[in-house]
Amino acid sequence: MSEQDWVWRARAGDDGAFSQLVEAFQTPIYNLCYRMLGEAGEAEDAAQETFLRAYAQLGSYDTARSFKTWLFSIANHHCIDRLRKRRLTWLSIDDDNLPPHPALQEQAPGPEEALVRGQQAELLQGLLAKLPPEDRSVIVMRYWYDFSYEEIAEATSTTVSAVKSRLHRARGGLGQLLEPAGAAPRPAASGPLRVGR
Amino acid sequence: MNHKPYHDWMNAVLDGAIAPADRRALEVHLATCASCQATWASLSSVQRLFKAAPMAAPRPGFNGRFQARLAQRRARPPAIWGALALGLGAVAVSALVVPLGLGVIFSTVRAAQQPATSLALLASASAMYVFISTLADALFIAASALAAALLPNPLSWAAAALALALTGVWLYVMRRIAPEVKLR
Repeated sequence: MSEQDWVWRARAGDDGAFSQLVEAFQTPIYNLCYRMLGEAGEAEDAAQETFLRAYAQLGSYDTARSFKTWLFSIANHHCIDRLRKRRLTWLSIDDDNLPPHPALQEQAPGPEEALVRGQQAELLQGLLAKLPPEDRSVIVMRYWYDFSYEEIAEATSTTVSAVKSRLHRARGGLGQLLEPAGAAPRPAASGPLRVGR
Repeated sequence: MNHKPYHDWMNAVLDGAIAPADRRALEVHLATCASCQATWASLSSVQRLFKAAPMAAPRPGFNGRFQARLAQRRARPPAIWGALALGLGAVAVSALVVPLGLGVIFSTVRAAQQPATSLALLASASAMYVFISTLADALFIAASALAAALLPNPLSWAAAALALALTGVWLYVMRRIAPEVKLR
């Protein structure tokens, strides 16, 4: 059964079908909430609330629209509302207060690699926390889900040009933050345009 | 020199959305512009870091927790009933308070316009004060007499202790019967 079938059945009142949708989207939605909010407990709460709202609003969901972007739109707006309500704590890149998320360390073959992964996770989350919420959601949707500009625009209720502008601005800001931290060496300047490993 | 077009092209490269001619022009420019080389390096660093980032996953049992939360949410009465009750209550209170309030205001204004009525009101206010003072004194005397009679009596203390104990037992039983009722 396809995702669209589950959506149709859930709209018809089939709670089992909606449960299948929760199974399918729990990780992507949780990841978005975690990247936006920066705290595992709050991310769980926000992700749960997202699905509750989706369940309540299924009757008004436009089936011509992608269910995925609709769900992400609910999650994104909810996370931004939460960020606006709470006082933001700005994390320093050198701050050790944000522990690595357990789910990010499931495969830690050795202590050295685990340490590196944990440090990278902290660096990543610290960088995200420096971005305004609207820029943060664009970065998350682009890098974790490979959303197109159009999909991001739909999920964030904005235009494609606004998405491009936010993405470019966010990348530039993150790049400047990365440089003082010395997080990555600069690649060779000449030659083909390659991002490298 | 305006580097913005080249920055836009760099972002287009990262998004896989650059035209071949623009890509060639960017490569030519990067070969000679140190500033854009630095910008490209930092954007590449961002790209590498975020592309390698893993997907955060919830703790096992997420769907089960969601189902429990959904059941709890369904058990709540719809908010509209609470809002309706509140609205009706506000209307009822207003229907009582507003006419009374207006009546008091108008009566006071009219009474103030008639000296004889004002004097009579002052006299009744004074009498009311005397009455309340006398009543308070009487209550104090009665309470003192009651305390004087009861306090030395051990039976009074035993009765009070029994009442407290019965209240505690009742609260405990009620808690066991209806544990979901919580004080906010």
